[in-house]
Amino acid sequence: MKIMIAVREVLWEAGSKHGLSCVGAPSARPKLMYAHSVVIPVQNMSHVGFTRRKTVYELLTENVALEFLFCGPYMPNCWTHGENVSSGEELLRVRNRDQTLLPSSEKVDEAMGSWMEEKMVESRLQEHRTLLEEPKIARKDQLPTGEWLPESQMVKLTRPGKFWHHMGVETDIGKCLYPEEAVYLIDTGELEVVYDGLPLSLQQAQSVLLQDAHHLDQYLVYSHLTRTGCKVVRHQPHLIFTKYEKDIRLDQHQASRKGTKLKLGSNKASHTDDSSQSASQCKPVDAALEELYACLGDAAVNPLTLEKNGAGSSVSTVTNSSKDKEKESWKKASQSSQEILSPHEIKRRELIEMFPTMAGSEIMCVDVEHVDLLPSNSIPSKKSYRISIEALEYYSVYETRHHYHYESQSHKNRNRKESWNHSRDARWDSYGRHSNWQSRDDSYHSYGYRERERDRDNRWQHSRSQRDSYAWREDRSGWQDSANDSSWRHYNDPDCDTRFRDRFGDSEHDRWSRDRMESRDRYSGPDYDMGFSDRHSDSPQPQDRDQIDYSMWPEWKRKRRPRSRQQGRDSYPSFMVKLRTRVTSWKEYKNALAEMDAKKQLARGSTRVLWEGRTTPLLTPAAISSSASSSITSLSSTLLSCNLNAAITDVEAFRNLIPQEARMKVLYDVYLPTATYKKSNPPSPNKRIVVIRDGSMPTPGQILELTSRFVDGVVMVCAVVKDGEVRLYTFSPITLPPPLQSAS
Amino acid sequence: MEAQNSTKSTTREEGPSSPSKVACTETRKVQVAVNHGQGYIWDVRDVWHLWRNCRMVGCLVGSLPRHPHQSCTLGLPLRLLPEEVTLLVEEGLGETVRYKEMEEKPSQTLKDTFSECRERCYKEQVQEAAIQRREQVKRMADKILEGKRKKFLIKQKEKNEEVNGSETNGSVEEEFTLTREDVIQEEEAKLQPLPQHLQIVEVFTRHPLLDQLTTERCPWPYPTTQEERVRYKVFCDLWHQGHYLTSGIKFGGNFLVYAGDPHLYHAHAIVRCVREQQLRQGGEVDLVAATRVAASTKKTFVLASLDNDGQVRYRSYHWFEEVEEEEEENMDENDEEL
Repeated sequence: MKIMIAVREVLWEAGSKHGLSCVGAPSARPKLMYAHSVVIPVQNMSHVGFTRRKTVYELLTENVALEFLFCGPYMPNCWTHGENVSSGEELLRVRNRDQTLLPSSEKVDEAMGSWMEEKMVESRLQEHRTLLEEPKIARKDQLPTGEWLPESQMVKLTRPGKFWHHMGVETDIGKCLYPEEAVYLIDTGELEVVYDGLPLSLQQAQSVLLQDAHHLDQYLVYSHLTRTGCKVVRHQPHLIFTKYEKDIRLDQHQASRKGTKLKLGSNKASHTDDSSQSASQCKPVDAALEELYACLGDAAVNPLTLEKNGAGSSVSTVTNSSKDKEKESWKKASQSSQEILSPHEIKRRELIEMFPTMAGSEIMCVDVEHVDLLPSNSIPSKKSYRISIEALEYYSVYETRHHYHYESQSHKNRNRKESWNHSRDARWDSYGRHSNWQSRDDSYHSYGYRERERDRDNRWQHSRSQRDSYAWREDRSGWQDSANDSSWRHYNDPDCDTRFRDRFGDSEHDRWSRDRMESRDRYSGPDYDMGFSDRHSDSPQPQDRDQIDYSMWPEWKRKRRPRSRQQGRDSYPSFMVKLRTRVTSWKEYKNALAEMDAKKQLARGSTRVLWEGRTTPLLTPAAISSSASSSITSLSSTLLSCNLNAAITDVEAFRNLIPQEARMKVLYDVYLPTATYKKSNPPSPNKRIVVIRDGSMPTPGQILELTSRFVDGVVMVCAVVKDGEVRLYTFSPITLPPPLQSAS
Repeated sequence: MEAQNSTKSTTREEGPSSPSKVACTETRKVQVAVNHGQGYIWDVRDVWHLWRNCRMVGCLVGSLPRHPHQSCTLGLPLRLLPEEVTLLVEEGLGETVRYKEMEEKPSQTLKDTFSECRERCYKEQVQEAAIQRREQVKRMADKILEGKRKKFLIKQKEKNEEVNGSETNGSVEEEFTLTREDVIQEEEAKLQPLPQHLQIVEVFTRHPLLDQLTTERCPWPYPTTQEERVRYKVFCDLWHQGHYLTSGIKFGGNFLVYAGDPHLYHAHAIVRCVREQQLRQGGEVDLVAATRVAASTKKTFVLASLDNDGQVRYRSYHWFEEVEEEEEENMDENDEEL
């Protein structure tokens, strides 16, 4: 190959200075001047191996630019582009092509318009063109294939490839890829997607798989990040762990979600997808739950929704024997609503189908079992009883509260009943721990059920997210310990424990009976008690029993004394209202009661909107009237009662300010190339990506809401796509360094 | 240059797909495929034509076939600025098209054509593979021969050692009579056709059967708002002056202006298009910011706006550190220094 060194228009031929054979002698004085570029005349770009060019690059000093000068006419001898399809000959030749890429060459600041520069431009364009012209090829047996499913908007993989490591999702119809993943893989030549028998080209895939301009932008962001080596996955709303949770390694517990499958079904797929996407905006955990509930079908009714539309009550008749199983199925349903265990999946569904659903029903009729099966001291007055589900729920909540400390001691031999309570009502439990039990207790005391319902709903809305995140984990720990199936029945008739003791002579039983002792009086309500009806002379008359007055507080509850447990079974419940706060004198007790009453009044009055929810006026009317005498003390106490910290970091407040549709969607989770990522057990992402729509910049409110939405401190990145270029901006709060203190 | 152009035109004329091949190649219109409101170029020849002859740069957004997992050098398709598309259409250099069957399920004829293509491609590959193998054998024939001879000799030796005592070894060496041709023939007899699963398939970037689809004119409404109209006017004006233009989002402007091809040269000006009202309203903060960015990237910041006659006026701002952060305004009507 001839090497010529050209300086401006003066051509000379140099010796073998750079280890390359050159001909001729310089016409000027080369000893005094440095050559500033080397021009290599070649016939055709494809004659020059890129590796060889690279070595030439390395040989040359940095002052010398190397350019290829095309003397002959450009001949695309590799590709005859008359047709769009490359011939087999070409493809085979490409198989052995050089895979290296030249380092991107330097740019020139000032245009001189010289011959030299013209040639350089020419050669660069040529070079680029050669690169662009190459076809993307793959050996047939090494090319993963997929099929585009228009109805579910997914690409079903018929042969997965290496990319399965971090792409795609396991669904009920098999391994699937999201559209952007599929388009990217087509772009990189790693996947062949067939649409109705015809492989899609990138051009067609971009118009078929991607739906609109915004989706196209999203794809550009995806491809931009993936090309740079990041692992980009769809946003996983359940991956939120606070630092504390990470410290105690709660995040690693997530592994149990492994078997979860995305439900694509027949034509509901896109709908599911959309709903999960839209729901993920404000209530991340909720969305995951919702999605799972959606998977379970009608039988497993989301307790959240059940509570919300609890107004309409219908009656369904269930026999007692089936009620056990009903509970069981409910339990299983609530179990698997948190997590689907594939081995149990079929069994569970069968069970659910066997029994009528409790969805929406408030009151249930339960037939009394045969006399032999009943406890000895129970004399049922009727053949069937009507049970309010809601009341049951309440009792179990009540129970959970008392069981709480107990459970913490004996985690391992937790029995089934507890776990049932737990899975069903853990959100109550956690809620109770979050907010004040006291207010709840008194509201229960005198409110009708309906009002309680409303009250609960209000609070429910306000502390939903915390509770949910709590409930999620609580549940998981709750039902993992499985016990024998008889426990529920067992629990139903507590006084026949001797019979059971004979049958189940296990060590657990002692604990069982003890447990029942405590819970017996609690559990036997006016319409449910069988064991106590003979003992309490003042219990409601049998004929009244079938008419449950929900506006009244259950009789047994009113009589219950707080410390009845220690005093034994023959003590009577107290009439006194139980207080959460500790009182030392009657006066304090009465004050507290009066305060409680005042609160109730407020919550019922015309201004009750003010007193609902988490944020309430600091001063109560009572406090104002009393503050005439001691204004300062009351003010200070008011300030004390107000939690300033909570006020500042009140995320809910921002959430309520920004309407749902104005909130920015988190689209992708990004793992940096250095991060280890496992699809079955994904760690917390390194970044979360939001794609800005239509070039509209987010408002400060949106940014604030976005940055405060997640508690785990993962960086939010905002991607702006303009004219095919992707720009990334980070939203992260920073603390300015404090001003330097001048040394005195 | 001339020679290249002519060859290019011949290769283009060979293409059976282009219907306007009878017309002069210079007037062949670039096909801008519109997808979701964006203009794309999928054909390398069109890209080349735009780069070489039209001073249009665009932005490559695909992966490079040779090296897909990097973002320094990108591949097809070429995404055009909306201004570029409008200009192409107005100058008669190109047309915006849309393909009717693109989003539909493929028809049977398309499927048949495609499988035919694949089949033909496979057959070609089988032939080509055989040819390549033969060439390889020819190249390696001498070596193979040498190897065979060595093997033969070793065997011979062993044989000789076995029967050393009884016979002489004079006649044995003459037996090696293999020639180069023999070796080639032998290897060619072994030749197997390329198995089906080892064939090379192409993963298409451009639609392989584009000429079978119905091409439709796609409306291109681009400058719709007042801002867009200003932007387009500025783009046109600068392009007609002979500059190369790309998107200026990198430096916070609307366009970057290059004196030569962006493949070789750096941009030397950042253009921001504003409406006359915006100009009067001021926005000193923005101006200082933009000028500072331009100064630190060794570029000139240019404000472009339309005057009352609809002519584009340029104002370039330089930021001098010596004058303590004050901008000096140079009014350049004709934008000579660009």
